[in-house]
Amino acid sequence: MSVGRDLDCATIRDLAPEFVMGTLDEETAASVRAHLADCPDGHAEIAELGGVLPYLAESLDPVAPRPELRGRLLALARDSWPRAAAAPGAMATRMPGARAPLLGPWVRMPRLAWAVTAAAVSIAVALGTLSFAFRIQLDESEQNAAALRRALAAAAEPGARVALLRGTDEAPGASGLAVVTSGSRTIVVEGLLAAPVDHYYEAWYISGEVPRSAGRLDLQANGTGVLAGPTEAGPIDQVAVTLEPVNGGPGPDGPIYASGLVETNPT
Amino acid sequence: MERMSGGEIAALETLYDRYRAVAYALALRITADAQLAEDVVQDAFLGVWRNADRYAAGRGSVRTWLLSIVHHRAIDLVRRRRPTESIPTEGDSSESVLTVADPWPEVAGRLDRDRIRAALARLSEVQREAVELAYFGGLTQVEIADRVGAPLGTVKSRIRLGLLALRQALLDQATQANGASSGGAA
Repeated sequence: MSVGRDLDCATIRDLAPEFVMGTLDEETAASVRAHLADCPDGHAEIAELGGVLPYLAESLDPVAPRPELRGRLLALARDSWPRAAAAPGAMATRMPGARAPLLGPWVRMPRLAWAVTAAAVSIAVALGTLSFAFRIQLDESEQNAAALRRALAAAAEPGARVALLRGTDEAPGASGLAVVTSGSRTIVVEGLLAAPVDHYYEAWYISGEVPRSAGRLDLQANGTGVLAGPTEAGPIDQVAVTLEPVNGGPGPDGPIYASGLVETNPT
Repeated sequence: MERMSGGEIAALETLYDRYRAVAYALALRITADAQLAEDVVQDAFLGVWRNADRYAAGRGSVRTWLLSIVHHRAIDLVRRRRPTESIPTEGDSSESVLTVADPWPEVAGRLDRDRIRAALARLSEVQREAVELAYFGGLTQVEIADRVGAPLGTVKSRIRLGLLALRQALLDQATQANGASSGGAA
């Protein structure tokens, strides 16, 4: 049966069982939905009749599908998540295993050069024969975009302490920038996957072999996190980002996801 | 759901592991085809994954929403296989599913399968037949009337009254379950 638009309430009540069962043709079902969206009558019968349907499903004995379905579904889900493309090289979906040493192999970067484009910040680092570039995709958050621009401007200040952060094996697609000036400190990281349940990312300033917390890094949906605040006065040799359990201790317990050595601009 | 909105694949894994068996059982019961049932389940979970940001917690549990998507998708497939005047249109079932709020907080979470089946057993034979032909068979009321050889008005009454009777029976079972868990005074 195909019924046109502008259904009255009596017709809605008559159609309610077939509507909740999903056996109306699409045109009629659309007309019912349109009526329900605008009608001041609550049409409680829809909820009364529809509310029992899930219990019909649950009256069945559970049947497990083939294990292959799980892998197929997850592969399709990863491919269909649009923002996943913004984290190149991102692979890990599970908690990483053994803890990596806090002080790992660092890359020294005595010279920095960067360029800012309208839609993204491209920072090219030249170090003799070693060079790499990372992009920080400006997300829709104007607040984060402003923080990033401030960090970049601060990185050019005389005396600023700057570290380019590079993803470790735990997060090969991650990269970031840490800047400490006389007036402020900022850490921007992109390319991190969302933290697993009961975990969070934390940044650390490391002097010698002694870490102190720079703060918790809250990620946006696109894998970018910004941490900003007043300046950090103590000595800093390295900056690192780790994945910490919520019930962990005051020091770093989790593996390193990104890190970089600090360089100080000439005064 | 919030984690899935953020693209956290682990959240989808958790959802799938928790509900895959009940979802597949429903899809298999409706389609009677293992491969089609897998396709339905895959589409349903992908629909939830892609539309997680549209989920409104106050309008029904995730389980209810997921099973509704499975049901609609399975019925679409079954009806598309039948010669019919009106073929369901292609589309993302998760977008067209009307999320129905769980109406009875006192029922949700209190009923196991045995109690649900006990509630179903309270329906009359003809009511249960009509409800199951509609829900698991995807038959319209006209088609059910043809199948069972009853007038259309009779079938409409059986389905409406059957669903309302089931609702009351579920409430009664929940009351019994509540009494059994808190009573035990002896």
